[in-house]
Amino acid sequence: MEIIQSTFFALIASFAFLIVFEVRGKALLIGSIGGAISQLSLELGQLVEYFNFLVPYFFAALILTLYSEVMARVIKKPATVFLIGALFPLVPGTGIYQSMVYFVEGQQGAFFRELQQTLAITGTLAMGIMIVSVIFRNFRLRSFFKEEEQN
Amino acid sequence: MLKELETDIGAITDSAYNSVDCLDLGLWLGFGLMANGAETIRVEDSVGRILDAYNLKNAEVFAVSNYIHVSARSRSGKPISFGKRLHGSVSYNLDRVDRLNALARRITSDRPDPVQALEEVKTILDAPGYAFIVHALAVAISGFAFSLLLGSEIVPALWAMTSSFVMINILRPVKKYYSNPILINILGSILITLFAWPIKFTAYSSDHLLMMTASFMYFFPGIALINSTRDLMAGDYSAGLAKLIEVLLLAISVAVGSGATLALLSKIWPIA
Repeated sequence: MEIIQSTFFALIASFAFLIVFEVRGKALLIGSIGGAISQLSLELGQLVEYFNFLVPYFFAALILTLYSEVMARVIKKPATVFLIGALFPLVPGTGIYQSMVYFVEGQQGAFFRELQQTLAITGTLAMGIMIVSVIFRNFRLRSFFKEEEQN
Repeated sequence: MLKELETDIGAITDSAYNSVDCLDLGLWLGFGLMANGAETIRVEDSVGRILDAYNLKNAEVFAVSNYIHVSARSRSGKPISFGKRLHGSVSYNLDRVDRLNALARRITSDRPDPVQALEEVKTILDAPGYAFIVHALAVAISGFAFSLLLGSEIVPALWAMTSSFVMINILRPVKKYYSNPILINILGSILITLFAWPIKFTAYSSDHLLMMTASFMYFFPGIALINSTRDLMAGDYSAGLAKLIEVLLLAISVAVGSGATLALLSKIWPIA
């Protein structure tokens, strides 16, 4: 139930953010669904207890980028339009803010620990996005599959 | 050498259109993409394809985060080039990026009259965005939904929604005169921190962190981060690193505004 609830909130939050970035029409709906998918994949990944805390973020980033790149090709719009909506629910906002609070309070140890975790999550998200984007940019999958069919 | 040049000039005359118009079209379309938040690699790729579609020889395009330069040879073989610099900051309007991208695809396949296509570019660039009230409500709803997503109660979420709505209304006139995003982020984070502070004195004080985080999401430079990643991945290190610096500066500006205000508030209005 909690997962369904947070997926719904992610959908609404992504929808609102896409309006802030002036996204319209079909892209607005598809981008919002991307936000829900990324939140859902993060939550499902976090259910697996023996995963390092970064692994669910990595898988969520892979899934959201895959979704965005596929949608960009299906409805012929820039992938960024979908990536941005899908990325927002994964942003470690609490970590960023909490590290700043620790810094202000002079808790150096807690500050560095929180900052380290936040940077690790941000780096993991960037890495996940990068890997899928590189594959889509460098390999023409459609022509690859066509060649396979011809062979 | 002379023979090579003659071959080039021969190829140039393949297109019926004036090469200056074609180059101008590429310049404006690329500038529009750049000014509205497209990745640098997309700007170069779209303009390069347009110039190729009109058979401009020796066509080159170079873009960084705030400058675009296009060059080619004219029909008579003389080199021509244009450059355009973006003054101020990028305004993230993904609808314009999408429409310019679609126009670039159409130009590449149909090769329309460049003068008419340029008019279309200018129409897209002049197209109004959402009304301010829609924008403000979207910012407010994002604050509300993110609060709930992070696990806060409904009252702090509504508080975050109201704070975000008031903040965006105060920032509106400031944005008109000062478009510097660092200043806007510092001011916005000061306002959010001020508006959220009273909740520390209510039964919902434990949700203070969540509602603050939710309200700050508006300032998160998400598009710049994605563009930076995509430019770096495409091998455009200068554009990618420039955007990465932008991401860091914007994040730091929020931390500075909020951190300074928190420190000040905890001195003048301490929690009992």
